[in-house]
Amino acid sequence: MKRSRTVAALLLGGISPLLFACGEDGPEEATVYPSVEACTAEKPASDCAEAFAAARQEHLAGAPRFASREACEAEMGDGACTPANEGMGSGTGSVFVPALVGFMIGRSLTGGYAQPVYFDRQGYARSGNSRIAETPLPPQRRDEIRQGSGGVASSSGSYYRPGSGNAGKSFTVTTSGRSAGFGSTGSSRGFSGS
Amino acid sequence: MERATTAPRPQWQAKLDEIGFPFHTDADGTAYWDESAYWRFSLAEIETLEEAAEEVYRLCEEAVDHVVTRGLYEAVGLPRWAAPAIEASWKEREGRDMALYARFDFAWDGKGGPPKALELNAETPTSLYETAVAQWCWLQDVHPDADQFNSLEEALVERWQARMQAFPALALQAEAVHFACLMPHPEDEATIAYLQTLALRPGMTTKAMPIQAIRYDDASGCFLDDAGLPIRHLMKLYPWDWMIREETGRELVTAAAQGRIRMIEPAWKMVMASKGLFALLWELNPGHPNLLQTSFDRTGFPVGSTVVAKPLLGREGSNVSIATLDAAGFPVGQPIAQTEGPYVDEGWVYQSFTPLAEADGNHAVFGVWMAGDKPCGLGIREDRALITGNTSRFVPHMIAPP
Repeated sequence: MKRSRTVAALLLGGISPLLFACGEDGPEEATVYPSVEACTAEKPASDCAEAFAAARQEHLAGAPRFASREACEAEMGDGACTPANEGMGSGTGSVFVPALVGFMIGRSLTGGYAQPVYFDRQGYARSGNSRIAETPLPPQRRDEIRQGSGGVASSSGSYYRPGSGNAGKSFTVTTSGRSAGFGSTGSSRGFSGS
Repeated sequence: MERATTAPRPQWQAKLDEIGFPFHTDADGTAYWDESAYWRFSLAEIETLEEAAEEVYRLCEEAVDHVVTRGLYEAVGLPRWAAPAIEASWKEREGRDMALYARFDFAWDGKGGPPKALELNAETPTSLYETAVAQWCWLQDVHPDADQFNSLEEALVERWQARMQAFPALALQAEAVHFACLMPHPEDEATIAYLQTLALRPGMTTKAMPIQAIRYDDASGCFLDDAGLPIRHLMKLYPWDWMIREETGRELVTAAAQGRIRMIEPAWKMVMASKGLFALLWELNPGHPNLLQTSFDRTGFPVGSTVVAKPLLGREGSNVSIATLDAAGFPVGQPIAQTEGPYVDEGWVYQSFTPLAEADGNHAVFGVWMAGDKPCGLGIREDRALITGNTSRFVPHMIAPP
């Protein structure tokens, strides 16, 4: 046989890291917030609420639903799940969805398959079985992770994995260096490969 | 080979939307994805294309080696100061600077002569998702018992696995692969999302970002992502020869030469991506059955030859013209066909014209995909015009059951 046994459709349900940045941060500094509360301590509340609602809606629309936290964690990993009742409309009883997750939806010769993908707070994606708490962080940047707004953590609004050491902290990176200037040729000419 | 016409699947647009390919229809309402026809091949024909691609790719590698060992960078339209990155990566081409992919364009009518390689899109080949996924799903829906020359996805996953083995830090997830393209650009963003998906399969950490958001830190000599973290592996859907002429192009050459950043494709691919490589191919392998006479000099063709002029660093079929030449190498009368575009500055290469496969006024170019140095798939583009461009239709194919 000269064809693949399976193909993957595009990542669905992924949360764009751009949605994490509340308000109009300048290009020199971007701040990532774990919750609406942490965000509103520093930014206009309407900007924060809008950004989080968009991210949450995108996530909830694509997330698989589980009847219990146990069932969800069995599939998605310890501590990876969050209740999803809010904003779900007619739901009765508890529904759990994985926090911070996207999916690879694929087709195979015999049917379909799905593999979860986790996005961490900096937009890094890892597939199914890996742990999202292990973000590669250079030592010189660790001091720039600081406690946000009194450590407010909200399980329903959190973009961090509940229970991880990062919950409730905002993350500020003072981006060093200068723009590399890539993309200027293509922006002026238009580009779509060859 | 044969072009068959057929009724498209009911709700074919919705089926393509569903698998993440909403780019099936051009802005003017004409179909870009065209399943009102397909090309049917025998297994022997597919194997002929496969062997031709494997052979010409081997010759392309030899030609890159010829350029690198003799320093012929200007001849292929590249500045000499890019050499440190090209040469360092060429040394590691079997390992840490391995190629990911490329796509040949072949002309072949299947009527006895061999397939002729028109060019190799070695850096930013388009129509990846159409080839690997959209036509796979089409076949599965329409002819599930037939086969297709299309192990592209599996072959690319294997390339990512090989990269992971070459870099323990990637396997340990201590380092990530960044995927960058111009944003906003829905088609390119979808392409890198797909490549990112394939890189996730073996367990790498990945991140997509706009190429415009990459930063450079003079103190550390590192390129940084939009979170301020260093970029160690950068898959860019953007040409090397543009990047090196942009603001931190020289810094990129130095960083790549010193292995501080690993680029996908590696720097040596800018040599392979130059249209000038095919002039060297002909010089090194004159008369090769899978090659066409190609030259930097248009006076070398027999009087009355029909010749195609292409910009050395052109893309998407822009600035291409086809004309009959006189004894001095000048066009006789008006060009037979020509396209407009922005690529007028960096020199030209001339190639003997050869007809594409043609049926009912449709000219088909056969795109053979490479993963590393192995052929692994076929994507067909069709046009009513003689020059294939970025609006040419994608038409699926199948291998006829024996």
